[in-house]
Parts: sequence; structure tokens; C-alpha cells
Amino acid sequence: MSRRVPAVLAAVVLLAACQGPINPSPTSTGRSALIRSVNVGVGTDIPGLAVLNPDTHERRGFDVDLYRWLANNTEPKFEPVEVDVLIPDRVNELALGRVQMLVHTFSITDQRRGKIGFAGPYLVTQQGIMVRAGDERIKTIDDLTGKTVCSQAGSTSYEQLTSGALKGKVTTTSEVGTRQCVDRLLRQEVDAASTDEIILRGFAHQTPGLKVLDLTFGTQERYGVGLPKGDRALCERITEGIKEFITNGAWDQFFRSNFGDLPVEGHKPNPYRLDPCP
Amino acid sequence: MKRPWWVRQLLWAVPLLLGVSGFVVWLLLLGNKGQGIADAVSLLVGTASLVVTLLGLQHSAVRKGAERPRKPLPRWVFAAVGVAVGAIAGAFFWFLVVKPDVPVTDLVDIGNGDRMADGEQASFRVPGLPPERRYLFFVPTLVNHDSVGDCVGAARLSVTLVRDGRKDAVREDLLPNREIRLDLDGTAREARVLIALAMPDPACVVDLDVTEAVLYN
Repeated sequence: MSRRVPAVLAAVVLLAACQGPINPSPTSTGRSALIRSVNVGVGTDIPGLAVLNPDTHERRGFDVDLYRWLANNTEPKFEPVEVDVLIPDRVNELALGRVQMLVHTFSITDQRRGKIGFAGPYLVTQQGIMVRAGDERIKTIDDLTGKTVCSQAGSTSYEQLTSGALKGKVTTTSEVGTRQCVDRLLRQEVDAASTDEIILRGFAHQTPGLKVLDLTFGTQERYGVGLPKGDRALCERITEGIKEFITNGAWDQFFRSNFGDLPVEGHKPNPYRLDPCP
Repeated sequence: MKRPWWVRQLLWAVPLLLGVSGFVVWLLLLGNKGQGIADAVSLLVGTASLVVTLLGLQHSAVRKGAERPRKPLPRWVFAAVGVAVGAIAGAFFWFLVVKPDVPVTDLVDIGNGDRMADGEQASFRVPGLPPERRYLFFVPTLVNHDSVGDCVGAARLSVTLVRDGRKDAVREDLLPNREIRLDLDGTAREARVLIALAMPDPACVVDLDVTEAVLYN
């Protein structure tokens, strides 16, 4: 009898230990402890898409709404851990594994597909031009000839200015972010700023004295969720999530809340024609 | 009771043949074309030849140890017969049933494949008048020479086979850089392949090429 008591006690302890993970205690955020954390690369200063309030540390914007929606609505659910990433560092941050996902006005391009994967597109826009209010010198794309135009370094916008029909015609200058280009435009150091039209509208809405021309050019900028190259299962999961995001009305709701009365047409991708995962 | 010698030999020969047969069936189910089918079946034929040869050698050794010894055939005869049977069966299968594949990549000449935009169509004639084999396997590839644009990754192809001037049903929503197989059966004179390109961005311009093309049975 004396030998059985320690054995029974040991069995009880073992059973208790085994039951622990089955009923995990909720974390302070109320989410299950079993939900995986995922580092999501995001922007901090892109009005309408991703803005970080430095005082309250709150983030808002269409990109923010998207990755939060994906975190709650794709299986398995995940806990997004926001990592601030600069525009020129996006590909490297993902390729080096510092972030597992990028939702950061990240245009899908065939060239980038060589290094990383994409799911999407979730938003479509095109190159736009912003000038100072009252400046009537630029009315067509040809009017850019001889002008100095600022764009973000490491972006497709900068490449579109330096290739195609505008190659060699425009004097280009680059900054690490569109905010710096806007500042230079206001200081009259450049004639225009160029990046994705939807981003320019956000800056013009936020900053008096600027206007976005009804003028677009170049190839479409089709924003995708950046993913590690070769992870087909993850790509298919996120693609399916984006499809549901668009078809169930969430896309329209978040577009209106972030861009106001900007027309949906030309910005909403066809959910049944998202890019296939290679 | 002692088992006859051939029963003991079946203990390894039957599992070996069953295993190889299963492996060959699996290979065939992978969807190989002519060359792959021939390789897979050759494996089975070769294994069967080896088994026959070894059983022959064993039989020869048993006969040698029997009470009333009869002059056995030399071992090399069994080996030679096995090899010959395997070789003849393999050659018959290869040349008369399967026929070797015909790589025609270098003979494919694509018309209108340069700088294609959304909605444009390219085409190529299947080499041979008529083509030497029943099926065509080819891989269409798109190249975006610009550093911008989601063109290749978003593109879809519609492929139509035209046999002697008659169009088959269009195969839609095909992806570039993936293999496409067409049945050329019934082509009396000429087969032509039409490839229409669909890209969501009208500003995209890409080049279409065929990186691999093989005729096979």
C-alpha cells in the first residue's frame, strides 16, 4: 500500500501537467495564448493607408484595417506585431525574415516576385502628380518635361519617372518618404511630387496648399501583401482572405472610412481575378 | 517438408516484381508523356529480365546437384536469353508502341509574340506537316522587360488549337510558365496554336516565347 501512494500522486501530477495547454488561460489582450504572433511590416506616415499617431501610438488607415481583418478572419488566426518599415527597406526586411508579412503600399511587380512572394492585389492605383495649389504650368504628362519632380527612393513611382515615356525628360530627385517630397514641394524646391495617386490624395487632403492633378500615367500600382518567397500555402491562405475581404463588403466599408468620397472605380480589384500563387 | 527450390525463389521474386510494378504505376500516374512512359515501363521490363535470368541460373545450379545429373545448359545461355528477351521487348515497346519524343523547341517560330499588350494574340505552327506525333507539350513564357508592373504574374492565356483550319474549343485561364498539352489527333496537314493574352493592366507590355516544346505519343 505504501508503494502505491507515491505512484498515484505521480500519476495525478502528470495528468494535471498534461491538461495545462488544452485550456490555455487568456492573455492580457483576451486572445488565446496559442495564437501565433506574426511580424507585419507597416508604414507610419501615409495618409489614408497607414498613419501612426506618435502620441497615442494608434495606427489607422486602409493597410492597417486590412492586416487586422486578415489576422481575425484567416485560419489560423494570428496576432499582428507591427514593425515600422521604411519604403526602401521593404523587400530586404521580408527577404531577411525580420517581418513575415508586409502590408505597406507595396506594389506587386514581376521583378520583385524574383525575391519575395505576393498575395493580392487588394488595392489598385496609378501614378499621379501633385503640385502647389494655383500652379497651372502642368496640365499634361508632356508638361513635365524640364520640370523637377520628387519621388520616394526605392519605389516603383521613382522607377516610372525614370523609365518609359518620361525617361530623360524629367529631372528627378528622391527622398526616403513622400512626406519629405511634400515638404520640398511646399518650399518650392521642386515643381511637383509624384507617387501613387491614392497616396497623393491623402497628403493633399491633409495638407493645405496642394492639389492632385487629374492626370495618371505609367503601369498600374497593384498593392499586394508581401510574403516570404516560396510559401505557397501562406500565399493561398492570404489570397483567399483578400478575396473574402473584397466580396463580403469589408473592402468598401474600409475604403469609405479612409478615403471618404474617392470613387471606388479604378481602385477596387476584381476579387475573382487575384494573382495566382506560384 | 522441404519446399521445392522454385517456391523459395518466389519469396523474393514476387515481392520484387510487385514492388517495381507498383512503382511503375505510380510513375505513370504522375502524368508523364511519351519519354517518361517509356522510361517507367523499361524499368519493369529490365527487372523482369533480371528475375528470369537469376531464376534460370538457380535452376541450373539445382539441376547440377540432382541425383541423376544431366548435363545442364551453361549459365551464360540463361543470362544471354534473359538479356535478349529484355532487349527485344524494350526495343519493340520503344520503337513501335511509344516512339521516341521529338523535341521541337528550336523549330517553334512565334508570330506577333514581341511586345504583346492585353488582348493581343500570337501564334505558331506545330512543326511537321503533319506533326510526327499525336500530342504536343509546350511551355509558354512571358517576359516583362520593365522593372515595374504586375504583368506576368497577373496574366492569363487562352489557347486554341487549329487543325487543318478548323478551330478546337478555346482553353481559357491558363497560366504562363506552366506546361500545356494538346491532342493533335486527326491532323491531316497542319496544326497551329493561337495564344491570346489577357492582362488586367492595359499599360503592360510583355514578350511571349516558348521555352520548351515536345511532340510525343
